[in-house]
Amino acid sequence: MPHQSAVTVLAPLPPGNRDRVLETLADLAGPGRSALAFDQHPGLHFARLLLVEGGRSPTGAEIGPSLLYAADLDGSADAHLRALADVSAEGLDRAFGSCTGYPEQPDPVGRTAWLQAHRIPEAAFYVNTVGRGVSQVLAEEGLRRGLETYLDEHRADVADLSPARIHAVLREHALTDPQLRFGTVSARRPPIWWRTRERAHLIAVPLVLLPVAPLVLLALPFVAVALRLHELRDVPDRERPDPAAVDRLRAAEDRVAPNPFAAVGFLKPGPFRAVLARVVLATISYAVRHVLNRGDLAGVKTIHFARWVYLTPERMVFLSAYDGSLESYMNDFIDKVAWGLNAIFGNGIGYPPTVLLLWRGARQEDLFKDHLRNHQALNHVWWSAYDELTALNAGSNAAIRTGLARRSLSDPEARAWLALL
Amino acid sequence: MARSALTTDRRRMRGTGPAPTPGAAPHRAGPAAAGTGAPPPVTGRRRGLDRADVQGLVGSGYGRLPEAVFLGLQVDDGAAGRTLLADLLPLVTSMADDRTDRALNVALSHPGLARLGMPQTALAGFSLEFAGGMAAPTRSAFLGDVGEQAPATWAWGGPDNARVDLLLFLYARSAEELTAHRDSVRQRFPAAGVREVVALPTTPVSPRDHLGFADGISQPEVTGLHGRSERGVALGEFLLGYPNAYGRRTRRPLLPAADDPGRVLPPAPRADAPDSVDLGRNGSYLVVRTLAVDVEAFWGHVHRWAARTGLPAEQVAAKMIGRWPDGTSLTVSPDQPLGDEPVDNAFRYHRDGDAAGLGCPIAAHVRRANPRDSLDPRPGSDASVQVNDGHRLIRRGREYGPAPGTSDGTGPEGDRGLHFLCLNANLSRQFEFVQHTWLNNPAFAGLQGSPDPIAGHHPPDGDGVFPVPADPVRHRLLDLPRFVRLRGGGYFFLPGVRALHHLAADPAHQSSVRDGKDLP
Ligand code: HEM
Repeated sequence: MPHQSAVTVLAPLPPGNRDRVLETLADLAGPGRSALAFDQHPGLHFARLLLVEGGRSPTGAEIGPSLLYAADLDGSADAHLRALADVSAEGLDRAFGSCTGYPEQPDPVGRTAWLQAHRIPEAAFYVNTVGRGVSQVLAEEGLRRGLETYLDEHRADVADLSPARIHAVLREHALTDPQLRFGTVSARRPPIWWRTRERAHLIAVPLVLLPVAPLVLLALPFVAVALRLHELRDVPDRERPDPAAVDRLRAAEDRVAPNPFAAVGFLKPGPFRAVLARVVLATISYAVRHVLNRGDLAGVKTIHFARWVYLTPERMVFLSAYDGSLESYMNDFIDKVAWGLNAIFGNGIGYPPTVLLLWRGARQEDLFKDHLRNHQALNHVWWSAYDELTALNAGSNAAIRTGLARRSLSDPEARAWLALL
Repeated sequence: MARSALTTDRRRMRGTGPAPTPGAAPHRAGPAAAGTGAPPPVTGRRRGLDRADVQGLVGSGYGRLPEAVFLGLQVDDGAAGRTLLADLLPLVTSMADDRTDRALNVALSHPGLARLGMPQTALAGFSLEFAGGMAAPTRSAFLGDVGEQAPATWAWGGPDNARVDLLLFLYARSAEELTAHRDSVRQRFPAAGVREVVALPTTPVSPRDHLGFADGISQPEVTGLHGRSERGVALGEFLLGYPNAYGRRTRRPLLPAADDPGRVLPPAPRADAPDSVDLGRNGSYLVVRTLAVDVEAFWGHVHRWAARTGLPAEQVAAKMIGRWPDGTSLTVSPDQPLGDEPVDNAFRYHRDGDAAGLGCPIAAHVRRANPRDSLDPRPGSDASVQVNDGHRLIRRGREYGPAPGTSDGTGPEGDRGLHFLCLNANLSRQFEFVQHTWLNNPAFAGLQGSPDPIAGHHPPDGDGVFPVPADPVRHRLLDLPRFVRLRGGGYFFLPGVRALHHLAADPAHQSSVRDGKDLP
């Protein structure tokens, strides 16, 4: 069972090439799909290419357009870039060929080096369930279907048995079926070196921070006052989203179970917000890495992967793969994790007014939805390894496997397990 | 002229009785008494709900008036449309007229509002979904109105049908009275400039729908709608101009106060816009979807799976709907209908022991149309109900076509179904969310490949499944056919009565129109 990694590549492009890149991306999303050969990368969950439009930062800096590649994958990011430079060469050359400094005569080594040079770090990376790889997700869906079919055909034969006995019958069936046999053994855990590293990180961070904790506590009231003063000066944007832009976004939304979301925005200017955003993201990064890594991002269970990335020190992008419609996604945000959204996005320009960062903000439904729409970016190319599986589905399938792998279950355990089918 | 009618009516209002309709004998319970004469000028701010300003359909489905017909009108000339509206105003039924023996309500589409001369700035105050209309390509994709259900195939409301700018809802006690009511409404249609382009007859209200089930049992309790002090869903979830589930007033068209010299419209809260009047207040978005129901296919599927599962056919059908034919909830009574009157509707799924759906399946129509306490956060909790209540609908549908087994002579088994009508203040978070995320979504609440068997989008011969949880092993009904087909529809706005008066008035005096911001 592999661990999961994120890859983010950001390549500036000359403004004059913008339209050409958009055309290329439209082709790569449609007729020219095979050039990117994403399906040739076994551990790739999701991949996307999007053109991030240029803009003027609040401090007046002119930022040009750039092309962004983001992938959620099993195993190491370096290996993915190497594979990409080889297997997806044609698509890469077409997409990034118009970017500044792309190799004239690209070969796998040159491409890999270029991609590596343009990789940017994720400030935080959320994985729905750490360790659950693509092959596992797909195999476990096959397992569920196999067991469902067996029950469809043999329900009358087993319905009078005890739940524990039915579990045993299903297990016997799986053992005799070569397609399902794998399901009688538990999924393996990520490699020991990886788990050790994670555990070390889990412990080391608090250890390092412990000595400064009293200082932080003392400073807190002052930070709160400073924050409130900043908030009172904030100007929320009142602009309504452009109907035509919303229509364009909607036309690309909700095609399959996991949908791509992208939002780009500038941070509020000044050192206070800059530091605050870094602290919040570091906290989130730690939390999603060690605590919120079992199918639940603080109450939201529809997110497969999410990341926060600094495009420049003043500008951030948020990318996620989520289930359902954007409307339901935004409602989940507002109803379940408004405080979490406020904490991060509240540092962005134009965000609905917050109170001490965590309160109000997203709860102002109309303002929040307009704000998201105003900052949403189109994902020009999107690829998913499983079009019809929601994160909940994948989790439920994994639980079916876990139960099947047990040699025997008690009646109550078996009853709960059978309810998954 | 509409404007003079408005002033005369206002003068009459100062008298003692209700304004008599010109030409009609002032009999007690007739349409004249039902009429809402021009409202007196607004003075000051009102705190509670002015029921005389809310069209009656919001408060009830007019169960006391079993006969109904809906007329769709195309307005080719704005002035003619305003004249018609002004002439209809005395007949319009408000929530305050709750004992009339006829009713008329008036809804408008976004293009219809433009036709009547609503200024562009006000038109832009409506929601994007309403402005674009239900037949817009992105809405069709979202709602699953594709393929055989695509707007291009519709009998009305689609791109190839005549435009419906105005939709009139007529109700009466008997067929004869409905005919008379309809004729008196039609008499007011101007000779030119407005055309009736669709008439949607309905089946007299009966205790059971075409599938044989009681409908219209569960409606949201709305705080302050009926003047009682019950705790329920926020008024602003259904009427514009009031705080919604998030304590905010949903966006709606506001006008400069100067555009309303007669002070017909209520003032907008200063926080939303200073010196403005509220054209949206007491109005609601009305969704109309004509859904043809294939009763034979439904019962054919039910009997096939009753035979295969060994369950009684009535129970299989009840599992798909989520209630017994008499309305008894499957959660309240999993094994047989109770015949209670009124039906228990205070139940919750998790709290009342049906978390796994052994009584009412998770995939059943009523459970997904209103999951109550079934979903996150913390199923079974009040917090779950609170989140759920951001997605409620007031349903006001009427059936059409002959009862099954009879024919109206139009076809072998008759064309029948439901004119599904629902009211909400936020199309995106309420109707569209329910249709898309709860009914159509094959992965609703962790299900796999299971759309709503009745009202969810799925291919006609697809591989949709309907799981029926059972202890210890579930049943699964496979090869779900499609029983329901969308034949027409649209997004409409059901304005408050004052707003109707404003719309009926000649816009010539309105400043924003003088500024040249008007539509053609
Ligand atoms: C022809 C199609 C349809 C049929 C035959 C049908 C039938 C029914 C029946 C028999 C009930 C139970 C009675 C009750 O609780 O009042 C019901 C409830 C309900 N239906 Fe439908 N329905 C249809 C379409 C729709 C659509 C399209 C929607 C929404 C988009 C919808 C939303 C609801 C809601 C919200 C409830 C109440 C659930 C509750 O509060 O417990 N229905 N329907």
